[in-house]
Amino acid sequence: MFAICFNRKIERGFRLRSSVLFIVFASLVWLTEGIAQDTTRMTKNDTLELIKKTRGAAKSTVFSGTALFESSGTARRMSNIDQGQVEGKVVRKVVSMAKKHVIDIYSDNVLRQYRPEEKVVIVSNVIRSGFPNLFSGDSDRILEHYSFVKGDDSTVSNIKAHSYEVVPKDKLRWKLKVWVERNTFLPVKVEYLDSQGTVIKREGFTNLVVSPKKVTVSDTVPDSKNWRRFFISKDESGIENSFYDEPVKGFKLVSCFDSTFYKPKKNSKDSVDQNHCLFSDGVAHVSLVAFYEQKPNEGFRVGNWTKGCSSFKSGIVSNKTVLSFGCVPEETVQNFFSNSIR
Amino acid sequence: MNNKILAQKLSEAFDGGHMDKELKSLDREDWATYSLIGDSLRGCDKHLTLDVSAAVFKRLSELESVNKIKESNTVARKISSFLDKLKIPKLGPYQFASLAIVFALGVSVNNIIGRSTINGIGQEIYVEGTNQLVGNFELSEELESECDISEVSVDGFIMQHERLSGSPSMC
Repeated sequence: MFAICFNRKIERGFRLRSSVLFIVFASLVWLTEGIAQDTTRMTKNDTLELIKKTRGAAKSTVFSGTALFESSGTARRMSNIDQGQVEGKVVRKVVSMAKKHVIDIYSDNVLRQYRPEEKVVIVSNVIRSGFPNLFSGDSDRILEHYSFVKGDDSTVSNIKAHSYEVVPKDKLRWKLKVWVERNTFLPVKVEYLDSQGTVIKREGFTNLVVSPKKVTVSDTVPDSKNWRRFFISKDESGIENSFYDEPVKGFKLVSCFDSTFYKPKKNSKDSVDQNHCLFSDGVAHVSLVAFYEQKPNEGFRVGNWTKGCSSFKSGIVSNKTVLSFGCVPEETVQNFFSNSIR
Repeated sequence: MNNKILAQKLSEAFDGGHMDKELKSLDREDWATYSLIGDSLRGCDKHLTLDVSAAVFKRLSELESVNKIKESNTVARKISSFLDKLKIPKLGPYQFASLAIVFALGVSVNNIIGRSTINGIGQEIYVEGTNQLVGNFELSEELESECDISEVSVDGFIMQHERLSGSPSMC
């Protein structure tokens, strides 16, 4: 009897000691992780400074480079990008060869797309030019939905770069890995990662010359004055639209455009112009269009899909056909679709 | 430099040797084409001053022979116009075929195509810098994205998203 009681006491003692040891060990691991995170997670001021520098660099740095755009859904595009000053204005020229040969000229939030094969110029009002521009809108709002973590310095395509992780605080946006040139803070590469950490989209320079001695950035192509000009969208910010200003947490209305759309089965009396509204959290962008009289299955099927980083959802909301699309998770376009109409 | 070697070098330079398996398994043949275009647009040491027009016109001359073949296809255009007048609904493939013909023919100031619209896809085109109407423009062709969505209206919507947001809508 005594022996049994003695053994139980010993067992209890071991259990207690094991429990204490486990708690101490777990606490140490937690503390170590916390300390490690604190050392790499950037402070608010540092993050705001980083955003400011990268935005400024993308907007005004004179550079000439070749960029590659890749998506895990097999799409790939290579473009020559030149940025410089023309008559005191920053002009960017992007020459791409995708399905068709296109020369994009960005200036003052106006995009002119020259298509030599058809001798056509397509003119659009836009909210920004693309890569290497990464951030837009209010910087403080970006910090509400993303944390910034400093990574190791590395070399990207022979460019010495600082690296950062842009980590979303919820599941409505992708994680980004960003590399910026050390001196100018011009973004040189960005990767979009899904929740498993797999790269689903990548944009980056394969070669880059910052502040070259000479950059030719012409805003026209010879003889383009005789080309046909086609206005495809006009900034109509301020006009009343049918969407909420923030239909999904963090994604605020940036602007609505009076845009031209192809609408099959349309009566000849109807206008092809449609209100196209763009929402952003400062990093990701989502588009919404509501067709008032267009019924689904006449022009397109109701459905949803995700390819690479892009997600799409279409269907009927409040008797209107709504399309939503963006480089965001499927859940986000689903939320836009369900919560957008007033 | 051999195009294939150049393409490989470009690929390695970009990937830094750490490319994901999924992306690496993609067909890399197009790299050779990209390299050629990059070379022709940049030259070697002149890439900072080379005007894009020379390369563009070189490419245009290469495409000229292809366009000539299309231009000869006037019978198809007449059939298209005839069907337009009859307002016979067209199937998707035929619609795209007729669009290609219209593009190949082109529209100029002296050659106004008074083509009626089918299902409302025609648009008025003006000479740049003036208000002079020169003809109609087939809209769907210019709006299509690289996503290759079978539904033209969705494809156009995605292309428009790319233009407005500056984010390549690559699917």
